[in-house]
Amino acid sequence: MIPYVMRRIVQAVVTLVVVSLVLFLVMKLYGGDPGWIMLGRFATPAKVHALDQALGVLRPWPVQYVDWLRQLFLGGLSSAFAVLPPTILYFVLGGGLGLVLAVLVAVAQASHPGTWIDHVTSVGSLVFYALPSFWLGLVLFLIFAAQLEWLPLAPPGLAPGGQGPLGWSLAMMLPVLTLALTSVSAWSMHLRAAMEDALASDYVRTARAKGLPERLVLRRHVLREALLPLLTMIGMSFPVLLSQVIVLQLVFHLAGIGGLLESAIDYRLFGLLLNTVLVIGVITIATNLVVDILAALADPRVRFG
Amino acid sequence: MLAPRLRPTDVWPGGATGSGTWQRLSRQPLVWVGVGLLLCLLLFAFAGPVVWHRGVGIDVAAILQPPSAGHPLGTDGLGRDYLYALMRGGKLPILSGFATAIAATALGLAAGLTAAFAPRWEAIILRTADAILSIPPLVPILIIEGFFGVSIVTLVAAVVRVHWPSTARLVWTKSLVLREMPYVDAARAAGARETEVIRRHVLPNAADTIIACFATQFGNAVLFIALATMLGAGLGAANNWATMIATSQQYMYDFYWWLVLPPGIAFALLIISVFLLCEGLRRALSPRAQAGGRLP
Repeated sequence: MIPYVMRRIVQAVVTLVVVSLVLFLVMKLYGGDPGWIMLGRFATPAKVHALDQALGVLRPWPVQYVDWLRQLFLGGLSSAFAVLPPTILYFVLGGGLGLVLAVLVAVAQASHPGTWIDHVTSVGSLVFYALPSFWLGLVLFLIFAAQLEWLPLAPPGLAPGGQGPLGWSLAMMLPVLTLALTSVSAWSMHLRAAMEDALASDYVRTARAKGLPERLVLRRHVLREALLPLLTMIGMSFPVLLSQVIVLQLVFHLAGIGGLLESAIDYRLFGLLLNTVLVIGVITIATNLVVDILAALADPRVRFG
Repeated sequence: MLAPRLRPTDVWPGGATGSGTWQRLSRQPLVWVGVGLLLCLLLFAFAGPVVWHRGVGIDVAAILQPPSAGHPLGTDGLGRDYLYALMRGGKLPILSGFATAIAATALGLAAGLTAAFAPRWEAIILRTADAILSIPPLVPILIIEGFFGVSIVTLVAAVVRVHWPSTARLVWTKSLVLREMPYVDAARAAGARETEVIRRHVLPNAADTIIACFATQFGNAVLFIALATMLGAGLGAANNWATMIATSQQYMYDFYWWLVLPPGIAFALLIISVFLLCEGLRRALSPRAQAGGRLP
């Protein structure tokens, strides 16, 4: 167990270093000359050179790389950390709602196979799987905010501000709902497969033969059996869910890491862009690591693969 | 739900061999739905603009009209007919989606088979695949978008680079099982070259994995390219379904539903049709897979 964990941690660190190197190289190769960009109209070769010298971009690249890493730790990531709370909130709420819905759907499908419930939810799952998530958010917004006016038009900010807590919570509902609906299809399909496997097993047959009512069978035996695959599945979906959150934030100008990314892109703040992308990369690699370690804990075959 | 309900007494025509595949395929109503849908979409995107050719110019008098007899999908912000825009906008998502999916599946297949049958390459291929898989797929796309716009070719290449590892891993795991099969040993003992063995024995039995991979790749590719185009990494002024969604965002505060709904629905129909086709194909090629392993 420990050797596997050590190996995975080393792999994760190596990947991180590679990612940071790639980002750094992209910045140096494609970022253009900062002195030139900053001086704009007033640029002359001499002034550009002087500014570059002062900015430190004329030093050897390894030196600049180390310096970049250093300033990251010394506060370059502060803006990213500031926007983490709403991102995590979207993540947890959206993922949580999606999970609840997926469990409900999977239970309904497994307990009524072949009926209209099964067919309708399966079709619904397929449809939601095929719909672009950003489009779904747009449509929901159109229906609930623009037309029916049940939910506010303004996007939620970093914290309940002018809208007050109620308005802010209402505004949060749309992105959360979009996230949930996007994840439901994949999760319910997995869950349903796991539950069907459990339903076909012997102990379920025994429970039914004992006369246990169906819903107790489901609750006591089937769900418990499906819990492990469920946890693995949730774990695997973390990175995907994170990118969904970021995508939604990007597209709908929400506050969060996606919002930070959007500002960086719009205002051509290359440094901020790179730092933010690095943070996103770090979070994804970290969640992958945690997921892998948990999977190894649960399933010994993983450790020796 | 997607399978015709099978009872233990049912017998698939043709059994588990190749013959009878067409019967199994044609028996499933959903396959015909998928085929029909895909054909309709292809006609819509490629033949449509030729047949329905109106409202190309900017007509300020007719901006933002809801659907009517003359404009079945209404008009957009510049007075152009939206149905025509939708038709013209289909070529890119469809072509780039197929191109990316085919390339990613082919590359992943090659990598997975090589890893399973050429032990020298196994470690390198798997390491590379894992490395690519651990970098969030959004990252390279965002970098590209943030720094420079690219052509559709570079975008397709970038998406393929990000997506081939998942197929490679799946093919590799399946090949590991298949290469231990007795018929592989028999073929080798009979003197067949390794490539022959792969072509004749491994590939047909890995078919359902490959097709499932293709279906997933297609869905991911289409949505990914749509996202990248929406974030600006697309192509100049070329109009396609994704840019239509992006521009319709400007109008999201008023209820211009006819601008928002059609492109998304089009995407969904495209992905669903390919998905249904692939599912049907999978079931037709290996009846055991369809019954969840409970058929003898």
